[in-house]
Amino acid sequence: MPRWVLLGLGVLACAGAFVPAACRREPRARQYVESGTEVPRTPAAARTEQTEWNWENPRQWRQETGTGLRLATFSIGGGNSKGQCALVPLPGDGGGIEANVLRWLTELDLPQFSTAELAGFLGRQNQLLSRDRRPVTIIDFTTLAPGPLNPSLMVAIVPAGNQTLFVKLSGGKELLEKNRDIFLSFCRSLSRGG
Amino acid sequence: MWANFRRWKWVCLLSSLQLTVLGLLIMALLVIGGTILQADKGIYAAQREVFQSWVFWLFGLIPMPGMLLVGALLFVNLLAALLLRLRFSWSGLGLVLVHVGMLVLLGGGFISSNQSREYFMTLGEGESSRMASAAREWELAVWIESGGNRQVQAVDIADLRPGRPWSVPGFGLELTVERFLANCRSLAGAAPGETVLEVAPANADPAENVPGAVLNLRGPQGRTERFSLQAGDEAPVVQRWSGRDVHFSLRLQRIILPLRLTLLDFTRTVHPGTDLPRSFTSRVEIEGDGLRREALIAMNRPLRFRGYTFYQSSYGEDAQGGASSTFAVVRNAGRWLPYVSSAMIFFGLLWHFAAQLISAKKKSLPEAKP
Repeated sequence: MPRWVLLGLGVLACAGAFVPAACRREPRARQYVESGTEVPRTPAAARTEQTEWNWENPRQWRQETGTGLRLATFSIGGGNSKGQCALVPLPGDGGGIEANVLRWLTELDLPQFSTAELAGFLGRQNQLLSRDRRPVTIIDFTTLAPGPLNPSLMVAIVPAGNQTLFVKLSGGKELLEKNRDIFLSFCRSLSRGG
Repeated sequence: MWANFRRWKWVCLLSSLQLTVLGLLIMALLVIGGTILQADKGIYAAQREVFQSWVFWLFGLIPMPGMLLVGALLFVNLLAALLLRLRFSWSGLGLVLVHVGMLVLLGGGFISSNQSREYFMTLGEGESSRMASAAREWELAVWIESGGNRQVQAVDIADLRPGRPWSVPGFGLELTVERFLANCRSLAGAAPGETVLEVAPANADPAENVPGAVLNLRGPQGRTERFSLQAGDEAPVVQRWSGRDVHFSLRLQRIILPLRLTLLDFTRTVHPGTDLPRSFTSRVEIEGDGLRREALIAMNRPLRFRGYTFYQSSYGEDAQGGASSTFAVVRNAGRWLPYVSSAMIFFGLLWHFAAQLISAKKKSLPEAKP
């Protein structure tokens, strides 16, 4: 058989695969018997713990994809003054407030507190309530930063049952002070569950 | 005849290597474009728009070839090259096999794209089911209840074109979709129990839509009814026809599997010090084909049974701490074709290079001197 005939037949066979579906006039019915009591659960019913936190996105912040440990990341500011806010849930108390404060001081290249200084610093921090009435402790490091452009932090700590949510706003001191009210509103909008 | 045929310009173009390179280049660009689009529009919309389309509109203005069109073009190109350019001889068998293997690969991709169906099954610990439901595709189901069971006739909603009637087999009813709404809200109608559907903007991902339909029903003795159905509404519309209660529902497509699956135990392990899951494992019991046995379904360790593949998809926890496991149930007629094509390409290349080696060896042998 000449090869061009073979080619034509090959193309026709491929096209022919579509013809039955295209020419079908009557929809194809499926028949089955199901138990009147058996209702399939939809996948939407399956929910991971990662999606259990809810919040209201601040209009002024840009949300980015949450990666790794982060539930979400927001970028703040622009140009030479950039910062970000990250939401990280950790099991249990996430290491405890005191240990974390000392670690953050190291991160910010600030001198370590003595036990009395640490107690005094924590005593000066504010608390507010989240949307679902959970206590939110705000740790504000901006008062410790020497200059307006020095890196600083504001951290909200939200204990919630078997885990603790850390909301960490980082950037230059000036930028954080500008975003303080937005950050506090964001923390008030947090809630856990459905 | 053959020589004349090969002189035709379009035949040369159709079987040219340039066309192959162009096709592969566009394919690569589509993969990059689809990946970028996925971040913006989500995986489902990107798949539909770029990988499962013949043509799509770039920025809503420029027509671009979709993956199906490029795949079809490459298929014809390879077929033409196979039939018109290659030598059908023992030494050329390797290249023929490679080309046939690539044709099988492209054809397999097309079959998978069109025929593969994905359903989901969610089970709590101790629960069992032989039913799975789709995540995005809807069906119009009509049934009567007898002895605690439902005799269901269902049709995919995508197959019901407005105005084209569907004779519901065994019911003596003819059903016509007057209007289909991809996404809608329901409002209370003027009459008690009446539902009015209001169009809502459709989302890119159909899983976020709640479709609805306005239906016309014609029964025996010319009796007609007009009513609306909204998907996701748990309570079906019930009408009395020929002395029987007939139920109508617009719901996610369901399939009855050839096995009953029972979730015995679900385990989740996390990365140390975090809540990030490292692995999920479901211990299940399979009952089907007269057999009853236990099996494990874990990430990268699916269960295969009578043409269905069960993948561990996700999990959930309810307020009481009870665990549930979700399986993706996939039926793909072209599942084996990538393996077949890979084997053909492998043996084709082996044959080709072996033939080249033997030929080179023969040429390099010193000529016998008289």
